[in-house]
Amino acid sequence: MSRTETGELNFDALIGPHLEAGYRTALAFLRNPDEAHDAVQESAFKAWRKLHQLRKGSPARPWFLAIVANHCRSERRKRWWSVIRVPEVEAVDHEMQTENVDINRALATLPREDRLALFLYFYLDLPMEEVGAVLGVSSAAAKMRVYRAAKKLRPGLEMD
Amino acid sequence: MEKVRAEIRAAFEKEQAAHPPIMVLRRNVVEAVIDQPRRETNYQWLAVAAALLLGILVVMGLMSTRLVRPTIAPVTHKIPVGDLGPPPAGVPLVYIHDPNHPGWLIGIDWNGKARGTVKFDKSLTYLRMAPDGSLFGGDSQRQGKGGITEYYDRLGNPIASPSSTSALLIQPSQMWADDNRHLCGVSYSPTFAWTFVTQLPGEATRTVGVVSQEQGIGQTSVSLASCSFRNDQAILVRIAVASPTDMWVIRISDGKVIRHVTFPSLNLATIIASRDSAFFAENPSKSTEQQGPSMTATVRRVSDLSAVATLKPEQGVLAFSADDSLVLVTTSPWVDGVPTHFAVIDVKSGKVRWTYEGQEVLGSFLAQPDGNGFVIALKGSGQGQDPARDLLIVRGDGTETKIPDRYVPAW
Repeated sequence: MSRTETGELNFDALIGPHLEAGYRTALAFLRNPDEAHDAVQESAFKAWRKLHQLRKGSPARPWFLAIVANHCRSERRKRWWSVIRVPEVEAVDHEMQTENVDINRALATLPREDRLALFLYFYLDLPMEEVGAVLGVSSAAAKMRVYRAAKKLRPGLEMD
Repeated sequence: MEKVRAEIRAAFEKEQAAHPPIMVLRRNVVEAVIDQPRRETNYQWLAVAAALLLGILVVMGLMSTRLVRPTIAPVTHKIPVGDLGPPPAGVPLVYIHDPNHPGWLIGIDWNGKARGTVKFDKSLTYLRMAPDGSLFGGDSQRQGKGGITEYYDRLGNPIASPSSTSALLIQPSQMWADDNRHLCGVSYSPTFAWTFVTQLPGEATRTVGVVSQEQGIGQTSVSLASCSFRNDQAILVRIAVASPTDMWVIRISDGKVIRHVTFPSLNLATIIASRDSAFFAENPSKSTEQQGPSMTATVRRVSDLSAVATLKPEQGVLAFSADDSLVLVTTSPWVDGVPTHFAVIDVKSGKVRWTYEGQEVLGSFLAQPDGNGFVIALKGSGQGQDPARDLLIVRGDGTETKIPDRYVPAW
């Protein structure tokens, strides 16, 4: 088996299972499926080049998702015009209950970092340690960020 | 907090459902990546990164006080059933049937916590999950479509099939591949050919190759022991008069037989392979019977057939962990109606990580798709036809979680 094939197997085994989560994270952040596909591809290139930095035995998922999140932040910073773009991922069901409509709208207006924290914790169900790793903060700080973001949606919310 | 969690998840679910990832995302991305040259290590950047990491560690040390996540505790409360909202993406789940809603499956994570509900039509029978819970198959009985296997995504949405008659039936002789997406099976044709086939739900079946051609219906059969798309090889075993006689290692991409092993002695009971087709275990007949010649189960490496572990005579390998570091073994013969004792053993060191010596009989089991745990379904020795099982989640470190109550597993 060639080195390329071995590398492909290693990369696929390590990062392959997390590519879908990477795409979904990028979609939640960028809110554009084409940009999200580009972001996960670019992030995979970065992960491939930096694979040696992943310590043996360390979880690959938060490491890769952190690369995706950083790439998405970088993309937003590059595009000054993005602030006036209309979000393309918007689907409000008219039959939806009022409470859910409110939370959909509220989510759409949250700052991206807040949305990211909520997405990682509530949608991807990452443990708080991994949320912290992706956001680049401690698990305690990540918990606080998730709580504060959720409180913006539901002001009366109490932390568990 | 739980209500808010369900609301937030549902809102994200709606956003995500509008733009699912392309089906071949993983293959496309990995192939594109491999074509790129890897950059040499830049030690200046490493030094900067190390300094930043040190800074982050100092800040983390200062900030982490009371809000540290507690260690996982055993589940002591009942599993909530009913509508728990859509299951989270990217989290491997084990599905059980909701006892109160026919057709609904409850996803529990590998810590024993219920994480979501997938609702299927109650007319679907033989509902089975992919090992990570990301796909489902079920036999449709609707509108005269009796016995046709239909596939569904992780949220229970049907995956259109080009031809329903070409769908693989999910039966014991077929299995999900280690990528949790493909199905692999062996078909037997009127020309007496045992043919290895694969299928991606929603696509037509693909013939990999004819494995064996013989007429011994009822006396012989060929079945899959493993099917690894990640390692591009599958292991198929020929059984004659209830004993393995041949093993083929086949490359999935081109159907080439990489290795053919024969077992002239009829003292073997089963051949069990790891999901990645890298290892296999020869289980002696004594592992499934009260009597039999004194032989030991041997775990071998597929690449060179070298022995990597030998078990005791009454022990037999049931399954390998996904990382091949552990094996789930029976420590008493697995005989119907007799309490089954089993253990989880470290392949390299032989160290016993966990044992079960209770009064129940082994029903079925599943290896954790992205870790080194197992979930085990147990039935009472006098339980009869009741399909509900006691479920034990055993983690690689030897800790276990018993799911309260009994449920019908969907694997």
